[in-house]
Amino acid sequence: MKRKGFWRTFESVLAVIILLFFVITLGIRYSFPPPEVDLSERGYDILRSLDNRGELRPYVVNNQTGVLESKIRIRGYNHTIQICNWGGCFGSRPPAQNVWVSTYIISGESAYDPYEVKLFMW
Amino acid sequence: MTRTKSSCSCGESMGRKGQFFLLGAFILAVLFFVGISTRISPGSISFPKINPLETLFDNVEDEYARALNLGLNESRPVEVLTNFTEFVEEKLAERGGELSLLFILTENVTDDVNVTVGNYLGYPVSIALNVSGVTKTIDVPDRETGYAMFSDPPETFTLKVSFNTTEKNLLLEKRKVNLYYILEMRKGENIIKGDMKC
Repeated sequence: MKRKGFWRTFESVLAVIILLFFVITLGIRYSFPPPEVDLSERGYDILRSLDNRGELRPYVVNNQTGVLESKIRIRGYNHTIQICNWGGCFGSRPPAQNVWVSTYIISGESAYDPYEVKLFMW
Repeated sequence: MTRTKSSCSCGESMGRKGQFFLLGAFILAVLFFVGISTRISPGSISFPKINPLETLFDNVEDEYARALNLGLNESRPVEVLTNFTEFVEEKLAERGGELSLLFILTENVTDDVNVTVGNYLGYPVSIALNVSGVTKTIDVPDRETGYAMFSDPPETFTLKVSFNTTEKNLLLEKRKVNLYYILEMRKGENIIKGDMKC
């Protein structure tokens, strides 16, 4: 009886070890690194949704890049905003390589004044 | 003896039931592992190929109507439309792309209708405009605008536009400002073309 109990315990321990082995193997192999995703369309959707909510144009025409940046949250990525018009660009470019860029063009808010908004993500 | 031997063999099999379960679990785990590997291997994950021209095209297509409204508020719709086209053209050129656009704007002047054509096709164009049976042909150089006046068309009139191999019939309201444009964006082999009435 004692021997039977020992083997059952041994089997249970072995089963747990095998299970953990597969779970950990799968986890390491398929969880890291995260897959490469094209963020350019996602960035465009973010800018577009801000525009639809009326939270883009007032800040763009006043060159408030900081306010715009604070309105954007992209999980797992850093971001920065640049606002460009005929004269040049306001805001900083990211100090990084492998940067996704999404752009959004507006013709103005209450008066014609075209701008391009660039959202950098890295 | 034989009977005893037989019962002993059966008893040994029964005693190894746990080991068989363990072997079965191991086989199931291997099958599961192999199965899931083919399903979720990194090579099999596909992300949609995103065309950066598409988002810009959608953006600009929507923005022309807004640019027209801003231009009308400032009583300079043609100037705003041409300036906005040049702005978009410059932004597209920064990305190595090219733009072609032809716009037709109709505005009523008392009972008459003024039709303005803006040409950003990259070459001069001779365009025939037919408003409810009256045809006028105007030559518009590249990056310039031309216009034709039609006297007292019906309140709802048909504008037939013909140039090169393109023909378009538009049903328009006389007392409303109408904008029709043909837009094409190109980058390498990637070409997006569309037309819009607003």
